[in-house]
Amino acid sequence: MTDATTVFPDRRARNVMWAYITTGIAIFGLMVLVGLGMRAEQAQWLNYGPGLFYSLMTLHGAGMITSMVLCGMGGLWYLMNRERAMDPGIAWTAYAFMTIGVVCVIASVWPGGFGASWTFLYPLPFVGATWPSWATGAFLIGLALIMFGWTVWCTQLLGCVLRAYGGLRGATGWDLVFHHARFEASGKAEPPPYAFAALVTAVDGLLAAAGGMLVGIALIVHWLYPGVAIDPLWAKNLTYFFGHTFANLTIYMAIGLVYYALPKYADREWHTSAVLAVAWWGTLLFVAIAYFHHLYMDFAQPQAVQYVGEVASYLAAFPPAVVTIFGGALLVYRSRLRWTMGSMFMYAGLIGWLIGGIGALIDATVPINVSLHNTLWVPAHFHTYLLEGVALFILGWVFWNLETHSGLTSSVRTRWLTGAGIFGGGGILLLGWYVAGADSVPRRYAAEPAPGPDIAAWASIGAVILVIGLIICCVEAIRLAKSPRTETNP
Amino acid sequence: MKNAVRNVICGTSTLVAVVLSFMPVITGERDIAISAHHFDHAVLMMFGAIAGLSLYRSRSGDFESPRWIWPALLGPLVAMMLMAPGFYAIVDRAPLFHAFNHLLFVVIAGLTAYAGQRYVSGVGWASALMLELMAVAAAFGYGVAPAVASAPTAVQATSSVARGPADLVHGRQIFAQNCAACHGAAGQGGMGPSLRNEHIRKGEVAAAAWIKKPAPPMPALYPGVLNEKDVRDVAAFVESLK
Repeated sequence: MTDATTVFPDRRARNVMWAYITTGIAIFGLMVLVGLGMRAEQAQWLNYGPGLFYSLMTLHGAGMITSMVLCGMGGLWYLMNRERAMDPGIAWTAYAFMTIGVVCVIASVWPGGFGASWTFLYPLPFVGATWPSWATGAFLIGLALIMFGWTVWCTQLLGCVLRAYGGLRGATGWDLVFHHARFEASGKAEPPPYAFAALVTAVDGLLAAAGGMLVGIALIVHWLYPGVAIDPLWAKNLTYFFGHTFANLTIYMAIGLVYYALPKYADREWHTSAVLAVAWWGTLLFVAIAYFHHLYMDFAQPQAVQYVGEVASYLAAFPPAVVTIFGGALLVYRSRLRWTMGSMFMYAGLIGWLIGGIGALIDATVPINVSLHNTLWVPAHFHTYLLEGVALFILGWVFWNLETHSGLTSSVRTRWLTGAGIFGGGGILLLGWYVAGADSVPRRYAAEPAPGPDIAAWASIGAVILVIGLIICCVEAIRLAKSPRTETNP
Repeated sequence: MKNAVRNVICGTSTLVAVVLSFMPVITGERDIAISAHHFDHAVLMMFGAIAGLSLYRSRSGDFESPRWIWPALLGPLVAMMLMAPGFYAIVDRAPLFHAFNHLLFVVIAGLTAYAGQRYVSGVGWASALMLELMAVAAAFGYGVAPAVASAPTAVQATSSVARGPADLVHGRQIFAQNCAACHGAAGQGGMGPSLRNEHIRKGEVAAAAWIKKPAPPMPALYPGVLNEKDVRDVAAFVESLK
């Protein structure tokens, strides 16, 4: 039994965090190379054929999301562990489920050859499969294990939030918003901003997991007993309810880390206010119902939920734009911010989130979606969001820890080289998808129609520059990690 | 007093759940629709979860009891696996076995909720809600397949025998007159979606139901322009498109 007075050595909590983050970053690095290989195939620089392309696409999608989720899990778990001690054994078990799941997914792709993409739509992958049945099973079981690990982690996080702030009422900041004077008089401390990120991640994460586990079990049962058929529209709704929410939560987990570290760089505080609390209530709701925008083209879907999808997609943008991105900009404004690798990544991540969010809103507009649906505009916006948003927040958090650990910062030249690689190369890569998407080049095509290949060639050059930037970043991180320790508990 | 109320709630919920579990024995029901069956399970599990939540006695202090997290999370998974519609044909043949199967759901739901509360007070509500949401959502598509080619149910098979075989030639004529303008002469799609390989997405019964009551922008032609036989024939023709 673990009670509030039990104090775990901080080293144990840090070990949990670094296990999650280093595993996530290792998968991220591998998936960047897989992505480069896919873009090079589309540019006709390589020619390994569509079979391998679709397998790599499946691996890239599942791997990238899992890598970002793992990094966010590690960071947020560590932060919340400072609020209330959590049992590291549960966190390690969740980690074990997720890594075994990743191994199953990799095995399904190689040597299995599974290539239905990570958000495949039933009756895929059972109809027209070119891979053996065991590969389908390995992929489904792998995803189920990842989902179960996620569920364990979300439950532990929810328990921590409930314990730390006196139940749901305290954790949501209800009294702070509606009984402000009484709350002030009570002398209770309001939850820190990152606790709201933890609460939303835990609650929406469990809801998403319920949907994902249900459709996952239904698919596994269908794989075992093909006579058990599934309603495809139901399966698509659950798949995207899970998939969209799971992917969306990566940035809300990562922003919790920014809430903590960016104020340290700026030497200011990021206060919890009633506006911040209400904004996170909005996020709690809208993240869960925005997924309907994935089903705009499904005419069998009830029309009312199409309106819900568009409205929720728009409303989901307000809390982060108004509270977090604008709040982050104000926090930095005239603050004498220390520009280091960590602060650079965190601040740039806010800009990436804004740009990716605008791209998403454009695509979530029904009349525009008619043209952009299933074009390269879709990967354009989610790569902006993940690569120049979530990944930068994670890198920022890693460097915040390394800089605090070593007491060192990187040289201006290193920052410029890294920034040029990651923002410059990344920008060219992303622009390729936006331009091609606006020109109606379809997504998920191994061989794209013109002007896809020409744009892919430019994008591949951008991807190479990005990889160089990431390598410099990695070398710098290792240098900081190996330097003598000056402070242990940021 | 508070504990007495909890005991009453716990006892009543358990009793209702047990009585409902034995309904297959009492009524001797057979061949219940899978979606209705899933709803039955959701109701059973709701009472089981209420019993589990009311069984829990809150303790002072700020505890995390790690070992209790596992039954709280495995419960929903095990319940969904046991709800596999592939088992229904087996349990329907043995009402007593079916009743014990239901009792198992009640126990799982109670354990899920209770274990969640024991893990951290408040988490039991979340795990119970998760289980209940999954059970209700299962009713809308888990083993319920209006849209996939599958073996017809006994009722469907009987009614199609009674109506006789569909006339594909007549179905083709109906299609050309009423459907081809939007879906293309060969069902390849146009203003409306392609209907080729529609049999993968919808069975014949579901296709006929859709034609009778489509969602906009597809016009409803039944019962004005098309009669029952027209609908059946054109649905069969659409199903034959490759």
